[in-house]
Amino acid sequence: MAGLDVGSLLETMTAAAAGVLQAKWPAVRSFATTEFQKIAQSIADIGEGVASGQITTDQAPILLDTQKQASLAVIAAAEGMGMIAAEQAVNQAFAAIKGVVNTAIGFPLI
Amino acid sequence: MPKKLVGIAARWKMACLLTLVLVSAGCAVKWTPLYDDTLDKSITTFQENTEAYLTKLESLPAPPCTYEQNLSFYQQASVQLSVMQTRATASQHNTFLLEQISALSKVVDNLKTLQQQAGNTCLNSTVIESQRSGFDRVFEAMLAYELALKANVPPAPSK
Repeated sequence: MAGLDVGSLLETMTAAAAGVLQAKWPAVRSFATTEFQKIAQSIADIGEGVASGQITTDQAPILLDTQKQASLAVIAAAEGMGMIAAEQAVNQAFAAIKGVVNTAIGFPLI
Repeated sequence: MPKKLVGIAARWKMACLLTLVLVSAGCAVKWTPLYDDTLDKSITTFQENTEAYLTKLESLPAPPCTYEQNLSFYQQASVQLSVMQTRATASQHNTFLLEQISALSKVVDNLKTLQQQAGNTCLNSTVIESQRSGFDRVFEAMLAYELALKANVPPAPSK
């Protein structure tokens, strides 16, 4: 049975995981950035609404809480999408070493 | 214990550990919920109903625009949110789904409070638009996550 080179396995796994993360993270960051820009504008609009009298001082905190809830939903989505990316990265890393491990072991253990 | 037996035991432990690691390495990890088509469609339906309601509020005069004249929307919303929550609760790794449904529920509550505060008068277009923007962000977040779950396909193993 050929020995397993831990260093080589690590390099293979790291490269596979990094590939997934580099592909996925920009989309997550772009989504979160875009959504937070919209939320920031909405908060500014609330301020303008109060100044113009279109929004009362009773309504303003409620409308602000709505934007806070929206922020929480966006953060949850970004975290969830990040977790998907992490899961894919780990699974890709494991998939990348399956062949090497089975060959080294000498039978399809995995 | 004789040295020979200690050596055999140590090698046996190492073999078991290696097997465990390798078998674990061969099994895909799952840290996220499975895509739920029914929940996905529920979110879209809820979005459609909410937008229809906000559009209606923008055009109605008093008293049809008041909270008391629109109890059915909030009753229906409550039922839909309850169904979504039940569905998400039944799913594994559901933390982010539940957080989003909770956020949506609170935005609905905020709209309800605004209408109740308005009493016999209508919410003006500025207030409705502000609420609409909050709803839109929540729906976009929920649907973005659902699409990501739908696209989350396990990788093909290397040969």
